[in-house]
Amino acid sequence: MLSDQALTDQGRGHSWLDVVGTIVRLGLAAVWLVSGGIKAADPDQTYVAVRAYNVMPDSGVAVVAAVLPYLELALGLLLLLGLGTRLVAAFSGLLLLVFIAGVAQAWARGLSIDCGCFGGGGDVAPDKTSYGTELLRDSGFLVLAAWLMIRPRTLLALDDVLTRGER
Amino acid sequence: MAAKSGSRTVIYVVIGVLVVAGLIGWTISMLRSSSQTQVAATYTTAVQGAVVVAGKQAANTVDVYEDFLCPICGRFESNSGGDLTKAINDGKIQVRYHPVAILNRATSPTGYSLRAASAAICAADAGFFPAYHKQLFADQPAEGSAGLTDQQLIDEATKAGATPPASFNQCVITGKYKLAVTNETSRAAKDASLRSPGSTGFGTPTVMVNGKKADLSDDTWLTNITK
Repeated sequence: MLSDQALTDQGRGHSWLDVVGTIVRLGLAAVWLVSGGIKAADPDQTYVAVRAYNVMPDSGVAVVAAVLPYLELALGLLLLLGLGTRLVAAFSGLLLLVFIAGVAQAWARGLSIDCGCFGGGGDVAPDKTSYGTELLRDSGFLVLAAWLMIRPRTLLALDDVLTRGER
Repeated sequence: MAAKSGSRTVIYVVIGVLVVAGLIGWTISMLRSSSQTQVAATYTTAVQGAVVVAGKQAANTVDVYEDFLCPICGRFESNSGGDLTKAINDGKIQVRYHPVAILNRATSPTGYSLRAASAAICAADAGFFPAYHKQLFADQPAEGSAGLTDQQLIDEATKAGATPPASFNQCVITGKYKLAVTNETSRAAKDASLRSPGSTGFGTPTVMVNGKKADLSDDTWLTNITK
């Protein structure tokens, strides 16, 4: 580990794992930026979606729906910049675990996450939610976060710039 | 390797960014809700089939298709209900409310959407549609729940500040307008002009401004015609 650090301090010998880590970091950044962006652009849909999980009273729903999009955007931005990668990955992992728990409990309780409002042409069956796909997707993102927690070393990261002076 | 991401300054910056992001979100939502107009309705309504015509004939006609169980319709009502009411009061628009029941199967037992839509038209007959319509959305039940019972639908009138006559109660219990609403729902579902470009179905809320579908994600959809 020490030699790995020493090598990169001298600006050479980036390991291929660094490249993978960079792709993982930018990928997870994209996930948060897109997800947060969509939520921020449609606050009503976000409120309705959070409410559908039925895990807290309406006052709590309002706070979560208001804050969540910008939290996701912030996580995305920090990952994009590569600042505090390990910590941001930990927060990401935590948030993803919360999402996974939310979807799992909704599935178990038979709740309908899809409000059915954008319906198909008449009488709409409300439950077209694909819980399995959601869980699989979130688990995939969790793997990305876990990688970065274990190995936050990446290229093109602000982390490198900021800590270069600390000797 | 651990030293880099763990440096104290970085931790503070990360936490700082997240806190600021949360505050931004909170502020934006506060600004949004404080900009919601609150005004009492002074307009009269008329019932035409399964449509509640709100206000007198005006330069602009707005058709609003809503399902009382639809959560996004509830949000539409809190966001734009006040502005719509004010515009009708001021004679700038005439709104034609079309209560529909696309989510009729989404309660357990089924049928809440239809009963609520019918009750709303009953309220128009009895002269207290604006307050009742607002109240039904304020007390909107969750999808998958039992919805409101007929008695609760009747009680909503009192909650809305009205004194419902016996004819209203009868109207709700017998579901007088259920057939009309069912027919209107089918008509709307088949009407291609009500669909968003590229969409294959009819959803709620659907708002038409002078016969053209309004994009509700555009904040200026109403101010464009009321300024």
